[in-house]
Amino acid sequence: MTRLVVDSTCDLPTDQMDALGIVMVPLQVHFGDESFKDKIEMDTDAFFDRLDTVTKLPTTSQPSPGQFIEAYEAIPESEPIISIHIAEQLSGTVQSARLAAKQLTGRDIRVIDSGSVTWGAGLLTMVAADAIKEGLDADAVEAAVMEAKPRVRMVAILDTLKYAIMGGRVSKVQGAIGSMLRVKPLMAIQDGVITRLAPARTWGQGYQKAVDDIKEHGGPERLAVIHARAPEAMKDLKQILEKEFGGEIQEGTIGAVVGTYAGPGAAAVAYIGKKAG
Amino acid sequence: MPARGSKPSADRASEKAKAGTPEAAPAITRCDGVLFKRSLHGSLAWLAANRDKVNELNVFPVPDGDTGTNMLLTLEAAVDEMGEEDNSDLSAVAGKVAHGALMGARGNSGVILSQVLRGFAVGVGDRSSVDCLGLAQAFAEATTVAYKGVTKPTEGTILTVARRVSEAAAARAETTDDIGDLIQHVVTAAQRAVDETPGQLAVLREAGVVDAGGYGLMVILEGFLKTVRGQDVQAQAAARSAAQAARPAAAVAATAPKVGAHALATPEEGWGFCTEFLIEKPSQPFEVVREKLTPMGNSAVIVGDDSLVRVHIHTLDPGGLIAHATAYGPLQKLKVEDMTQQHHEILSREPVAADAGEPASEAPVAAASNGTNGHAAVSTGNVGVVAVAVGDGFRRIFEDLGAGVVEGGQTMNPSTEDLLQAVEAANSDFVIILPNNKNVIMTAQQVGDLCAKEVKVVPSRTVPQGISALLNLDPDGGLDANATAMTSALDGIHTIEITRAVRSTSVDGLKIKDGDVIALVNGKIQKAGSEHAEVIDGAMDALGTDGLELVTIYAGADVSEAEAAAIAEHVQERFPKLSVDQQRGEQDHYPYILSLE
Repeated sequence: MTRLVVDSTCDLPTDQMDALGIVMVPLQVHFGDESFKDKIEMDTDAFFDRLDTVTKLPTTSQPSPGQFIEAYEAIPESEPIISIHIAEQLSGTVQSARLAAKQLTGRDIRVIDSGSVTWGAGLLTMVAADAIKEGLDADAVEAAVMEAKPRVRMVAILDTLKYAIMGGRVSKVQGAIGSMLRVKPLMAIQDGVITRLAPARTWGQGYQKAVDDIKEHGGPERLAVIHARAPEAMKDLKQILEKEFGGEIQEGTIGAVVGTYAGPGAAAVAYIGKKAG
Repeated sequence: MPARGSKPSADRASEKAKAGTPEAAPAITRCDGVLFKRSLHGSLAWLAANRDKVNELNVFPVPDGDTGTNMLLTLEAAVDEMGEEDNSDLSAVAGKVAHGALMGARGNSGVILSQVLRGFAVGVGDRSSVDCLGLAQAFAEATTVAYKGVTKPTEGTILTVARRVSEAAAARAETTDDIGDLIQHVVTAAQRAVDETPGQLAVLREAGVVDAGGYGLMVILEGFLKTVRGQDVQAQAAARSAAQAARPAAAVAATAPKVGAHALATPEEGWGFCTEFLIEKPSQPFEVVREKLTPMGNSAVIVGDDSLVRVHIHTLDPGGLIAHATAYGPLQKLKVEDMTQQHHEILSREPVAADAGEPASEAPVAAASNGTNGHAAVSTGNVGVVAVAVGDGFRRIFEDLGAGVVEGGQTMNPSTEDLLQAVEAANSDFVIILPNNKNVIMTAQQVGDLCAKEVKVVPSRTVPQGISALLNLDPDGGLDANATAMTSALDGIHTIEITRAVRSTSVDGLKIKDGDVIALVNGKIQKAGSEHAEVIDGAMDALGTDGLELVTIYAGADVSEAEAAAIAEHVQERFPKLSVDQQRGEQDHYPYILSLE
C-alpha cells in the first residue's frame, strides 16, 4: 500500500495523521539560540505564547535530507512513498526531500511540491489519503494529487502585515500601502505564488471576500477553516461557509512556521476549488 | 413687446433703460457671434453678481451650497474659450462655448449647463447668425440635449426651466422678429418656471427655496437680456455685488434664498424697505404668522417655529407691516433698510462699485486654479485610480492607498478638466474615478468621452465610500472587474457627516435651528442638537449598529487632537461592541465624518 510522508507545516492534526499512517517530518523553529522540533518539541500553543514575548521573530529551517532519509527508511521497502510538502517558494523542505529520495536508489519515492502550505498542503494530502483508501495504486494516487494541485488555494485574513514584512514575505513597500487606516490584510496562495488581495476593514468583510474567492474558483471540493489565535473568527467564518456551501468543513490551527508570518489573530480558509481559475 | 408686469430685473436702472427701448433703438433681428459673445459676457457678470444667492439656495442647511459657484466657473470656462477677438460667425463662437463649458463643467448644475450650451451649439448648426426662429431652434436643441444628459430627468429643476424657456422662445418666435423681445419672453418664462419649482419638488417646498440650478439659468438669461437691451451689465453687476456685501452676514445666511428669487421675479414694486425682525413666542402658531405676514410684501422669508419666528420681507410700507406683526408679540432685532436709497447710493458711487465688482468675476479664477492641482494617479498594477478629496488627511489616506488625488469636494467641485488632467497623468491607460461627492459624479462621467484612456466612474457619494471602494481595488484585476467590485463595496459602508446648520429650516419633519449641530446619515439629515457627541449618538442610533464592527472617525481641520480623542472615547464607551479607528481627514465644514461598516 502507498504510504504518505509530509512535513510539519501541513498542520494536519497528529491523531488524524496517525490514523492514516502518515509520517511527519518536523521543521526546526529557532527562538534566538534555542531550537525546537516543530510540533514535537513545541506545540502550536506554546509557540504563540512564546511569540507574544519576543521582540525578534523566530526563524524556521527546513528538515535536513538526513531527517527525510530516516523517515523514508522507516517505511517498509515494499511500500511506495508519496511525499507532499510546503511550496518550494516558501521553504527548502521539498529540496531536502528530493535529495533524500535521490539518495535512496531503488526506492519508489515521489516527492510533490504542494504549491501551498498549512491546510492547503493538508487538503492535498487528504486527496492522496482518500485515493489510497479507495485502493488506487501509487501512479493513480500521484495522478490524483497532481490533478488537484493547481486547484489548491488559501485565503488568509490577517490582523496585521507586520509579521509578514518582518519575515520577509511581503516587501516593505507593498506592506506600506494602506497602512494609515486600520485594515485586515488579505493574502492568497496558490501554486506557490503569494498574492496580496484587497484588504478588509472588518472580519465580516474578510469572510465575504473569502466566500467570493471560493465562488470565483467554482465552489469548494474540499474545505477547511484554520486560525492562528483567532478561534472565534474561525468559528464565524465556518458558519458563513457552511451556510454558503454546505458540506464538510474541517477545522484546524495554523502552526508555527506559517504562524511566524501570519502572526496571531489570523483566520484562513484552505480549499480545493472546482476550477483552477 | 414686453408686457408691463413681466420685467426681468430688479433694479431701477433697467426699468428706465427698458421703458424706451422699442422706440429708441432699432430692433435687433439677428444674433451673430459678436452679439452672442457680448451677451454671454453679460450673463457671466450677472451670474457672478448673483453667485452667493444661488449658493444659498440649498435644500439642506449645510454650509456647502455651491451651485452658484459651479455654474459660474462652468460659464466662465465657456466665456474664456471665446477668446479676446470678436468673431461674427455664431456657429464658431457657439462651438467654442460648448467646448469650454464641457471642459470647465463643475458640479451637477455645471454639467447640465454645459449640456445646455452644447445643445445650443448643435441647434445653431453651421449658421453664422440666427433670427428669432433660429434662436428658438437653438433653445429647443439645448433643452433636448440637457434632458438627454441626465439619467433620470427631474421636473422642478434647471431642466424644467430650460424646457419652459425653449417653449416660450418657440411661441414668441412665431410673432416677433426682435431678438430682444424674444429674450424678454424667455426670461419671463424662466422666472415663472423658477418660481414654480417648489410646487414640483417637495424638498424645495419644505426647505422654502426655489431650485438653485434653475435660478442660476434664469440669472444667465437675465444677463443675456440686459446685454441685448443695451444695458451696462457690468455696472449693474457691480452694484449688485456691493449691495450684497453691504448686507450683514447673518442676514445673508438666514434670509437670502427667496430674496434672490422674488426680488428678480417681481421688480414692479421697486426696492422698497428690507424689513427684518424676530418674534419670540408668538401669540399665534408659526404657520398662522407666516400665512398672515407673507402677503404683506415681496421676497418673504419667514422661518422658525412656534417658539421663534424670523421674518424677512421687502415692503413699500414697513410701518403697516410692523403694526400688523406686533399683534403676534413684541418684535426683536427690528431692522428696516431703504433699499431704494441704498441702491441709489451704490449707483452714485459707480466707479468704485465697478471696481468692487471686479473681484466677483476675478475671485473664481483664483479659486479655480487652486482646484486644479490634480496629482498624478499612482498606478496600482493595471488600473489607476483618481479620487476627489478635500482635506490633507483624506488626501494622505487616498495617496497611501495608491490613488491620485484631485482637490475638491463639498465647497469646490473639480471641473471636468481637473479630472481629465488627473486621469491623463495616471500611470495607466485604465483609470477609475472616485467622485466621493454626489455633485461630482456627473462631472466625472464626462471625462471618459474626452480622453483616449478607458475611464470608469465608481459613483461614490461620500469620502468613506470612496475609501471603501479603493480598498477593494484588486491590483491584478482588470478595469471592468474592479469597477464592479468597487461599486458593490459602496453599499457596505454607512456614512455619518456632522456639520452645522447655516439656517433654520425643517427637513423631513425635523426642526433645525440656525447653528445647530446636524448629522447627515447616508446623505439624509437625521439628527439635530447642540453637542457633537449627542448628535453622533443619535445618528448612530438612528442608523442602527447591529451587525457593524468598525467605526472610523475622521476629524475635521478645525477639530483638535484632544477633541477628536474625546469623541472617539465617547463613541467607544457608548458603543462598546464596535472597534473605533480614529483618523484625521482634516476636511472643512464637517468637524466629523464617520464611516461605519
